[in-house]
Amino acid sequence: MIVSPWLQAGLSLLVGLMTACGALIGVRHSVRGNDRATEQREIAARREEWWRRFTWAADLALDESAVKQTAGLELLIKLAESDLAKADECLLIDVFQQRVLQEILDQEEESDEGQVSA
Amino acid sequence: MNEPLHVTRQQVAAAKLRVVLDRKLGRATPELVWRIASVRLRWTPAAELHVATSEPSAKVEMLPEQSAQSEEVADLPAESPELEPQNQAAWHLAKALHLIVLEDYRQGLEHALRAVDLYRSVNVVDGEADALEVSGLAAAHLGNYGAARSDCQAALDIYRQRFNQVGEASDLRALGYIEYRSDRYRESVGYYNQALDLRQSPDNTENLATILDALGRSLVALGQHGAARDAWHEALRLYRAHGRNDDAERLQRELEELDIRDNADHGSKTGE
Repeated sequence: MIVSPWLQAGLSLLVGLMTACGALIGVRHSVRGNDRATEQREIAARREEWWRRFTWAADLALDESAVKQTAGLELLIKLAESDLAKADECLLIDVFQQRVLQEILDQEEESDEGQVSA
Repeated sequence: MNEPLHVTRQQVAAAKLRVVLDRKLGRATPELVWRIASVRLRWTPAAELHVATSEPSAKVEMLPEQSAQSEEVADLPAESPELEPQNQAAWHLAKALHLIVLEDYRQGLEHALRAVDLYRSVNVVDGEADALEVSGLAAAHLGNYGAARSDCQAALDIYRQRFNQVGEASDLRALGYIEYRSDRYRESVGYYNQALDLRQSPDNTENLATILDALGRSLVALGQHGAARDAWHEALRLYRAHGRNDDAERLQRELEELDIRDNADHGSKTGE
């Protein structure tokens, strides 16, 4: 069978292009994989630092001293605002504000109920 | 008339924490918590400081014994030499923030800079950025705007490299404030607008009103009163929606003063 030289050249070109594309896809895939791994490592490092600060803040927020408590709560605000603080972390931090605010909220509720019954 | 509600510094901080958590968890915040949170006595990012002069709400008052006193600084736990550098850095950053709460900016700056050095020594770049932002804030309070700008710009570069949008928005706001205080209003507006762009994503609307408030002030300084009014009206709407009545009243007054000033200018021009 006689194959047209143009067809042969075209097929060679196509095979060459496919090889090049395959190599490019492989390289990009590998780079993406590396980027993802780096991103994961960075997130893990940030998360570790978040927890480190959380333990500092929690210690302060639970102290008997009013000054230390305030500093701890201020730090917890910064930690809660972080994008690393997801729902679970927020629920954990929630305990600290409840300790401080519950009494005043209960008082307000009682006073409201008193006014209604009066 | 209702009796004023006395609150402590811890309760104000706890209420602010509750507001942040409620927003992130999609819960409703009780009106009382909003009122307590609107008492402005804690450390606020630099950009908020020039709007933080409003009096405490008529119904919420601080207990006098809870006011900031410099001797309270000694009450923080002592730094332990056995701590790892990263823990030491976290300690210095906590101390810097605490000193800024107590308006001791000079010591706060020293601790923030120590935190920067320690974070750098262990190559914790996120910590370095946070410490740089705090040192920039302390420097701005001390009137050293060159150093403040340099530190906050360095922090901004890191936040951007790390795709940390919360840090970036907070830092842009600090830079907006620094430029405003340095009478560089055009640059200030630029930073506030960038902060607004980041804050307007659906899950990141915290402090939008405060940025708009500050933006309006820089626009007034630039003579762009129409744009300033737009920013302030939106800030006013958000303050009211969030129950920040002190801020809403103050901003309403400032809007009225701007109207009076513009009417006087218009009158003098037509009189000529």
